[in-house]
Amino acid sequence: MAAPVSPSAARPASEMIGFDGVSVVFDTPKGQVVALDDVSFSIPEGEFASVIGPSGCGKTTIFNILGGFLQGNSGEIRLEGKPLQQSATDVGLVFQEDAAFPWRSALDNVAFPLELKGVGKEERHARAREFLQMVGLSGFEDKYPAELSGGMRQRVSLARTLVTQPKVLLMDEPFAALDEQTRLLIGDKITTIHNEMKQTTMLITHNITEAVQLSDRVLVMTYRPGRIKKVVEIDLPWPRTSEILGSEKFGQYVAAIWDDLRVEASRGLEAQGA
Amino acid sequence: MTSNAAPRSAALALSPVAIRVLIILAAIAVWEVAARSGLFYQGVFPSVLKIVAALWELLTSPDFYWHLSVTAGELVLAIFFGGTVGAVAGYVLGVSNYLSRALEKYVYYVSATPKIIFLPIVIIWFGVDSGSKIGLGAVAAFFPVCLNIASGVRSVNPVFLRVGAAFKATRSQVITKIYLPAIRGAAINAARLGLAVAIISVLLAETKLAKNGLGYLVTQAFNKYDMPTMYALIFFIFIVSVAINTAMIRMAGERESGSSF
Ligand SMILES: Nc1ncnc2c1ncn2[C@@H]1O[C@H](COP(=O)(O)OP(=O)(O)O)[C@@H](O)[C@H]1O
Ligand SMILES: [Mg+2]
Repeated sequence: MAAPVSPSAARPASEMIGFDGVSVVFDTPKGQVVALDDVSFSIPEGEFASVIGPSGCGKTTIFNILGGFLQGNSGEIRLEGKPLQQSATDVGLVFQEDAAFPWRSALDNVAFPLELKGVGKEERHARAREFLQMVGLSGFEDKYPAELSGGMRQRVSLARTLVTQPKVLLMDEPFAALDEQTRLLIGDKITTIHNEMKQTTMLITHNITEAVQLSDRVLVMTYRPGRIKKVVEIDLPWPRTSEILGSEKFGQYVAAIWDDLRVEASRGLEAQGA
Repeated sequence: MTSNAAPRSAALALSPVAIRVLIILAAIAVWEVAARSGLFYQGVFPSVLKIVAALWELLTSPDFYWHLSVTAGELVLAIFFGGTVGAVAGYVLGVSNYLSRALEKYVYYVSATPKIIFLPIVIIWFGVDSGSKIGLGAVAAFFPVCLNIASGVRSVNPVFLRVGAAFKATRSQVITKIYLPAIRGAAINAARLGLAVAIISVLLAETKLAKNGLGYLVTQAFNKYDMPTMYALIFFIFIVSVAINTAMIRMAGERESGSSF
């Protein structure tokens, strides 16, 4: 076996994504909801970070801010050191919802962003084919989303975002609706792709195992107000083989994060049950 | 085994197609009996044979095709103008919550009134010739197209629009590459309903003040008390309308994979 290499050591520590005292408050008929409260964190270039927390804690709000769909009430957001609004950094988004266009074949779905940029048919199909292969969907080029499983559709969406080769990749619970086996397999793919493309990645999830398996660092959130409770650096070797996933250290990370999350999750459960 | 495994009697063994054919044959037979019974004022129910003969005469006369082309031309222009304006208006109402709440009720109410009441107005605006027929057809087509496009646009899955925004699609790209394919079924349906009401309005206008067109031919046959020709014309119009309608329903139904949300 190859000697384990810590990715964080091999990567430059320059910041790619930075949040500084970001707060988001929603006015609702029932009063104000503090979705994010003074959230600060920093993700170095090339790193794979996960954001984990119970549902309703503000994960999608972070995603929406970075995606440009939402503005914070206060605080600063930086991409490559520049304020988000002035940043020219390419950010690729993978949505929580099933977002593959049902009227396009898998190939034409993946080619979509290239088509928008005016890339010729031959070239965009060649590149789309390449990225479909990367997510393990070779042979499904001509299939339409209705003919694919949920996991395959989500991989089509992933390939469609990757084909633009964004410097930053944001994914909002892309695999939440999938069964455990499919998710583990896609997890392996994600790691391979990340090793190949080295894009800074932020994966939003509520699955602890997934977060520990895929990440260099895990940001644990609190429920209402949404805050960063803890940042856990996952010091496990790559690739995260089944041997590593079964190791004691892996289990300790999962248990420690669950300890932090348990309180938040039960608060979330009570709040939503009430 | 299951509840619908009823004992098969002879009548139930008939296929649905066979039943449809039987109904048509029965209708023709009833008609023919009525025609020959002498119970009705002569000519009100002309014999089927006479109608077929009149239809043959129509289909072999160049004059008929001239009138048919006038009506077809008016219809094409009516659906073009009414459809284009309706689609644009529908898109605007669909994307703007504000305008939709301000205006859509009016469109809805006017759409429910018979468009023939606008005939005097379109005659003043566009003249007594084809212009008024096109105008009335366009007015009629506008409403179902506008309302159907508006509701189609509103039903587009918002995540598709977010995908477009994430890839920095321009407005025209969002319209042509997201809205249009997403509402394809609704758009064809809008065109179908628009065409149906445009046919009614154009033909109706032609029966009022006109010198040509199929509607004019119907009125002329009626005035001459030429019942076989009148029924032949009505039969022809009926068959063509049904054919167009069926073809468009087929089109709308093709690859309706967008129904997964
Ligand atoms: N547009 C909105 N209007 C009002 N409240 C919102 C809105 N979006 C999110 N919220 C609230 O903000 C909180 C965080 O939401 P979200 O970021 O979607 O959570 P998560 O993705 O972690 O489940 C939730 O309590 C949610 O109800
Ligand atoms: Mg969410």
